[in-house]
Amino acid sequence: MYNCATVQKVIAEAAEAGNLNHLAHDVREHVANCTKCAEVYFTILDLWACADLRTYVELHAVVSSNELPSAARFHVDHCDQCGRLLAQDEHLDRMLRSVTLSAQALGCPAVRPHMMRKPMTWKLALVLAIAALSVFLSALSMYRAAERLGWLYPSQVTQPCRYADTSDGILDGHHDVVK
Amino acid sequence: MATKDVIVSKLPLLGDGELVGRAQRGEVEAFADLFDRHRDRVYTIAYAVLGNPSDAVDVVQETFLRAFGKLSRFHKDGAVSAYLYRTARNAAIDVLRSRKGIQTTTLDEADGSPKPIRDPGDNPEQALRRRTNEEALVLAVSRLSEEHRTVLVMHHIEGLSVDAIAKELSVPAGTVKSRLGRAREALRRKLLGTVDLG
Repeated sequence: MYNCATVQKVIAEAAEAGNLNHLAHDVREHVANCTKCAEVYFTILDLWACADLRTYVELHAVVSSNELPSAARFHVDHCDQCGRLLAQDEHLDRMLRSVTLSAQALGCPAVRPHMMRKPMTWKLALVLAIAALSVFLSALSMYRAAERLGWLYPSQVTQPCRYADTSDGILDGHHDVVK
Repeated sequence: MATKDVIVSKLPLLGDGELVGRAQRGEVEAFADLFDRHRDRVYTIAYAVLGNPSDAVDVVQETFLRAFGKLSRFHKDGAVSAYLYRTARNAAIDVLRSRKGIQTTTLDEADGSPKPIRDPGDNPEQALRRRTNEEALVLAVSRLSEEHRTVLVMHHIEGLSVDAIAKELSVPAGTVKSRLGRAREALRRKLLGTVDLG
């Protein structure tokens, strides 16, 4: 398995040596599956073979010879097989674009206006905003009222009887008991 | 009654956006007209994904019912068709996944199979050949791998550009192109001998 850097180096070396049409099978396979390396390869390829044309057509979804580079068009003009394949692709493309099967027996689903989700109009939005605001304001006033009436906190807790902190350091309560 | 007739006769002249507006205002005829306008294309998409006419019919119904519930979203003319095609494709793919395998239909099952739109200029023989070719073509599309089928349907039948497909599928444009090229090659191989490709 080759990585892109190796393949591109091999392609450049082969182009310099005029051997671009004799790349190893592994390199060709990589080019056929890697758009980046294919771009490098097809940019410098002068003499196109049938396999090159098929790879280019597949990678670029070409359907007409007008979409091919000039060197590839030259190949198509002189190769009956590739010319025929490209014509088939073009025909298939036209068929696919125009194919529409009839569903005339199919009836429109029974819909009623009330089934439709109503769009939010500005009036509806205004009503909702006013409703939300009034709910917020009443909740706020209830909170304030509850706070004023002291309902939010527990009532004042009576301080526990404190036996410590007497001047002589002896607990008052204890003192009383001793007395 | 006369008023209704006038409305119905005017509808074909209106754009999708105007029809949507009317349907939103409660004109069921406007929605029916939208249905008539897009039904065949939506059906073709569903059939190309599923390869089964009865499932495709269900998908068409579901697609239009969903669209009816969301009419308020479509203000521009192209928005309705784009939504319908995308919903039909996704609904069909969901059906396919729920079935866990493609249920195929042979060309011999002619009664239940869809009829291609007939060109008025066709003579009966041409019409028959055209129908056979188009049925075979759509069935062959439905038998491609999911990856190939999806890009073919999106590009050729829905009419989406390579860039739009790349955005929707979250893949580079080059990948979409190579999938399209390979899908077309696979389709060509499947059709050799059954359809006259010239």
